[in-house]
Amino acid sequence: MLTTDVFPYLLGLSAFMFSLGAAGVLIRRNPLVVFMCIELMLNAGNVALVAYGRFLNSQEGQIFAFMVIVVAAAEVVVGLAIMTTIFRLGRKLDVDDLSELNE
Amino acid sequence: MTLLLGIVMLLAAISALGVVLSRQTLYSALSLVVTLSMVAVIFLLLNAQFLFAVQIIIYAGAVMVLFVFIIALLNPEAEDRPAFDWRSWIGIAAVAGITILVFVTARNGITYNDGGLRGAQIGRVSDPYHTFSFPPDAVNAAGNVQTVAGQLFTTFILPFEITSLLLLVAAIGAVYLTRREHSGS
Amino acid sequence: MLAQSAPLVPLVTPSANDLLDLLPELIVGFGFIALMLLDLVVGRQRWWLAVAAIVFLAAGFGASVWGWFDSGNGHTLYFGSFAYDKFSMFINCVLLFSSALVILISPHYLNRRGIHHGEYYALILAATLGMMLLAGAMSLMVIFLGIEGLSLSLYILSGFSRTEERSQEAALKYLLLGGFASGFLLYGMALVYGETGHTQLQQIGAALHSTTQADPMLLAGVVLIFVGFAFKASLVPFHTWTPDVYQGAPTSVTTFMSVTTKVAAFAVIVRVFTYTFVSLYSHWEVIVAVVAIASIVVGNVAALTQTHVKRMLAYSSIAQAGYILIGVAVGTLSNTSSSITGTTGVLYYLAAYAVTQIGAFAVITIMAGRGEDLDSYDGLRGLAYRRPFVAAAMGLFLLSLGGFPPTVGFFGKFFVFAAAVNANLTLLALWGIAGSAISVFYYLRVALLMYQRPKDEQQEYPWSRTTIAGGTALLAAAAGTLVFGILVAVVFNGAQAAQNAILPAIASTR
Repeated sequence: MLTTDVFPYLLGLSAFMFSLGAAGVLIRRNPLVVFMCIELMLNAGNVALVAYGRFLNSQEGQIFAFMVIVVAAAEVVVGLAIMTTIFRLGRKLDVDDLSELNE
Repeated sequence: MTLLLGIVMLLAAISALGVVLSRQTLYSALSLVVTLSMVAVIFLLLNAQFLFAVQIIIYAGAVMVLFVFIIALLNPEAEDRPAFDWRSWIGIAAVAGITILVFVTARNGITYNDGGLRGAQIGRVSDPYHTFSFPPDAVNAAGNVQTVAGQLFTTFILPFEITSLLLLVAAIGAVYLTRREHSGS
Repeated sequence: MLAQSAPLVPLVTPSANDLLDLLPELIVGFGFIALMLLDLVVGRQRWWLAVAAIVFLAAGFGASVWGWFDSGNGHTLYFGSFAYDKFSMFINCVLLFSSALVILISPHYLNRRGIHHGEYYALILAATLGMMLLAGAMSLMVIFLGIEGLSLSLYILSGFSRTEERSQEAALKYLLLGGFASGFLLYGMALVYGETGHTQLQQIGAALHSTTQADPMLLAGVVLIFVGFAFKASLVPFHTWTPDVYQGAPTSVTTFMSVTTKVAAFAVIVRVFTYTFVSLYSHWEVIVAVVAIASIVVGNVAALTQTHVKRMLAYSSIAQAGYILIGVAVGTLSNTSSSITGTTGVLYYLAAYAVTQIGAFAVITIMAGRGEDLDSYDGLRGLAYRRPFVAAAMGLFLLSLGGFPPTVGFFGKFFVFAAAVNANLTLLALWGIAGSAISVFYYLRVALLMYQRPKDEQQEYPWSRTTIAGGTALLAAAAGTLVFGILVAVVFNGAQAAQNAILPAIASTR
């Protein structure tokens, strides 16, 4: 049976995943990997929600996390559609290459 | 159980590193599959069986298949490994600092008692839908998925309905963006 | 084992009245689905879709007006998930009016750009619905889903021109940075939920009220939530996407998102920060004030150097968001018995900003040439000689954005700054006034360009004709800019009533 002693470790893990994801968004250049890092951040949020919910004896954390999974799925669908469209226009996928706009 | 949780959390952390540090996009994606699966196991150990299933089916299943499919389609080149300079050190320091800070704060700043976290004790407002606590034993006795579903379809019906809007928008958007242009418009 | 134990929580289904009180949202949501189906019927006659969209928006507007009178002191729907109060109805009216104006100017523009597809109208309605949900959201879940609903629609709309790289890159940039911001928002919400034990604003507010100490995790959560909102409202330092996305997206979409996203984002900022986190005011006040000042400075200084109207308006909208944020930084403070409070100022400013900014962008949309946007400063030179009425309207909008009386822009600024002075935050008001003074330069520069004689008299002008629909939209925006400026009391009293009835009601704040 888990005790509340594990809670700081769970929150630490979620903070680790969150900050790692944020760092990944900033340093990686491939939009696909940047997108995966965003997924990592959302999952960090989910881990925190479920961990809090477990030790608060409340179900809201789980339900919130369920909503987040739906949102993430919807976001991935739109994001990957945009990336394929860019790819079809014959562009290399690179965040730094998005310079067309900075004229 | 605590030991299992420890191992799973370690694997999740290592594979999360793999997502950010892999040069090949495909390796990042595969690392992410491992992370998501490990997060699913964490959900299971935290008494969230329903989320465990959802996480495996939707996230580690559908979403990641989509990712891998797009990677196969676009076939992106491997990135050059960025030079290991002061910026990398700042990144490492930030990630480690935030993790340790949160860990220490959670350990010292939150007071625990028998009922769980301090937050469970403060501000329980007199509201019929929030006076109930859900100790794991009681939830398991009533049926875990049943309890979540009961909440989902009564108290949280509005957010649940809104997710249908999101899915519809996403479907329309994906169809619109990837459809070939018709002749004329 | 089939024997069932009694459910842990009594399963109470929501009452039918809750559904009825959700009428404005339901109408727009129904319109969203109906437009997708209508698209199959109308064939090439796509302007019918615009007509249908405006009918749905008007019906939603009517329902909101009815809700304004019906809601009284306001109550929550769906067990505290959603607010039925004058505040959300006020925001609904602004949003629906703005969306209708955008739809008026869209068909002609989309035809010229060759991207007239039926999905456009459905997605505009879906985004509007997301914003309305955000305006009334009383639970962290609804806020998160509302933000994602409007963002997803806007990602697709930014990339609506499928064959154009600029548009697609704007969409990708918006998507990646938007997802990044949702990550922050979600983590902040997780921390706030964990530290208070609730996801519903009313109970979060009560829980915060019952504790005296604020622990660091809670404050971190509050800051992360602010980061998520600041991104949507394009406040410095989370503004970097704004000029690029505004320039790359089709102009009618830019018109839409520059106005409505800000209105919805500020609605939720006011509800969450000014009223829910009210007992943490001393903690977030400084952050909000610094972000407001930074937005005013960066937005105005960057706008000075622009040579394209769309980019200039993008930077100026960052500065405008800074002025509005002053009203949030004031919180619920008010020293004098004066009725001008921060929230009233914010609401008035949002209404003023909506009509003015829509008008300014509508001029660019209406003037767009075939396949390209004529938004460089040189392209506007001499506009007044060929299109005197359009140029006059544009001049009026620029004067209003610059804050000249007797336009709405002046009173918007006046109320926000007066609220800051009332709360003894005079320094903040001075920053705002200094920023407005700088902004006069670049607004007047464009206004004067339009009245300069064109260099080459013989040159053929590529400006588009003003259609009846476009003219109507301009007329409505111009009328709003002037009439609400002269009849200040109408909007001001509305804003005040909306502020007085806002949920979550706070017991006693001072």
